[in-house]
Amino acid sequence: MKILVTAKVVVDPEVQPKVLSGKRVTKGLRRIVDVVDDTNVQALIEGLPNANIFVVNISSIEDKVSLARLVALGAKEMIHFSCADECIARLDCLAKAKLLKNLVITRGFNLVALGIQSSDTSSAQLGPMLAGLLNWPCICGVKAIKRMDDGNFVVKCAIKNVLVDINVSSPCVLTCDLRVKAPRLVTVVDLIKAKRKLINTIPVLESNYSLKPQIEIIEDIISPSPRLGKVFTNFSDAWEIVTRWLRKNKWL
Amino acid sequence: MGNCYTLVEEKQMALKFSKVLVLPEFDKGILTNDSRLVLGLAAEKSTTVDVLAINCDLPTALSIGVSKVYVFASGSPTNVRAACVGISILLSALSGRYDAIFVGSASVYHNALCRSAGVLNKVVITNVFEIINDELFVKSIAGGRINQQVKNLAGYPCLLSINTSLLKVEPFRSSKEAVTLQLLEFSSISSAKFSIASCVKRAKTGYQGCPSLSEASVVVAGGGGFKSSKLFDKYLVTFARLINAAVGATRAAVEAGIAPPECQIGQTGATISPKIYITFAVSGSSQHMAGVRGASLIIAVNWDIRAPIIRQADFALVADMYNVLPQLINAFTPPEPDDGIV
Repeated sequence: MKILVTAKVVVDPEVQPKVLSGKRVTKGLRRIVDVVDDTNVQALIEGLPNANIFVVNISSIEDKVSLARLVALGAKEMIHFSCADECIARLDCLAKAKLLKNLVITRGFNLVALGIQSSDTSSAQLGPMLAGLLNWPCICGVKAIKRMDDGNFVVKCAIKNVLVDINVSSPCVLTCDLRVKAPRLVTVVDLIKAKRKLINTIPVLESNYSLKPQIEIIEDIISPSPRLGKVFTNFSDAWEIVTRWLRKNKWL
Repeated sequence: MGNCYTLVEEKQMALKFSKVLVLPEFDKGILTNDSRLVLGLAAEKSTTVDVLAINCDLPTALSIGVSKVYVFASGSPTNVRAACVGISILLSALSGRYDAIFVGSASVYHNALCRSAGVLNKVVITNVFEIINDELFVKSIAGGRINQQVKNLAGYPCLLSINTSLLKVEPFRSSKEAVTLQLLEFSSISSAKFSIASCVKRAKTGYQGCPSLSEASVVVAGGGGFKSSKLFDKYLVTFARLINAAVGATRAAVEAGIAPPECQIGQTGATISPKIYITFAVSGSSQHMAGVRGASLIIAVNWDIRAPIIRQADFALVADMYNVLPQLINAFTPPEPDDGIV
């Protein structure tokens, strides 16, 4: 069983975003593997010990450093599609889905697990889009995955107010928000072992993929805060001001 | 020259879609509030609005009040994910007739639209909360901290996923127009590649009998600082019950087993738009705050003045929640009834 798991590298969500002359600045800001993807990789390695877990990432060459942790967690191989920053800006979700589709077909993966959505763009479209391109079934919002004796899987996901267990046979695309008992810390020994493992860097060549973007970014602006921003250190002061405000606005 | 530009700009601003298809969601035969907002936006930005109603009975379809309703039954509501293939094929087939297709970002049909986008060789413009004209949109990124204006270069149909928590439109009101119904049958599509093994319906109400997160006008949420589910129930749930609020939690609290998964708010949990959102021991990470951007008023209690929530709340109290919560519980506890004994 060959499972491909995606791992995005994003600007640390705890870092305040920067915009300069109407364009978002990401250079020089701390970048990390998306928390949901990091947990998915760990959960799949722990939960499916007999499967071969391959991790794929599409980002700039500098992001390779952030990916070492995933290999150290026990992934069999890291496939890193690297490209220049200006090329990344032109790689929209469709281009990424096509890149992944080619990889899935050429390397013969049975199952693709993606994050439920990026903490950066929150677009949540790559999984179903890839499934559409591959003509595979897709299940979104998977919370848990279990392999059965017959080789099939049972996945648990929440659909509105219903918890559903779904029998899945491969090939299939899953978008996951898996859980682990405790986040695993990577030791120095893990990192040394990981050094011997393969990080397969594949440059994304513009000539090989149609990088004609379908969306042009016109302007980025920091979202104006609609909040009042009043801070108190004393309960009675806070109580008085908040209740007065609620009464004034006829909320009480 | 300046006047020419103004005229061109005004003309551009006035450009509307001529035909839009909306995929609304229904809850027990009633249009959800999110879907009313998406329909409201479509009615504002398009001359004609049609609807693809999935798992919807005919009286409900007739009551929506748009000119044309396609009705498609995919079986029981839990089969919607299984029927995603069928819905996406329908969308691909119908897309040629429309300038744009709208779904809510939190809707189950978002995935069907993304799937058909792959087939149509198009990108879905996600998290849109403002439509400037038929090719310029404003979307929210970086957990709602950046507003990005984007231009669609791919022509019609535009595939838009709408972030309803940030929308500033009036919810759609049914009109008395004559409605054309078209029933769509798709019996040939098999989604037998997976089957439902078991299905557990959650309680209609929220955690511990409190109102559900999606419907409550007041939500009280706790973070990992509660340390245990016992303390969470003792303080936070008691307070929530007293003020008839829904109970929410951060991802950290859910992962630590302090609160159940259905309470999780944020990017990977529920997106809510209550009138008042009160937090205790919530740090205010961008992933969590992305789920509460639509809250009208945020009140935060956190002992750490450096916690991001202090800057992102309307009213923030820097204090120990174990001192604050008992005072709040006391303040809202109704007085003991007088038993009449002197």
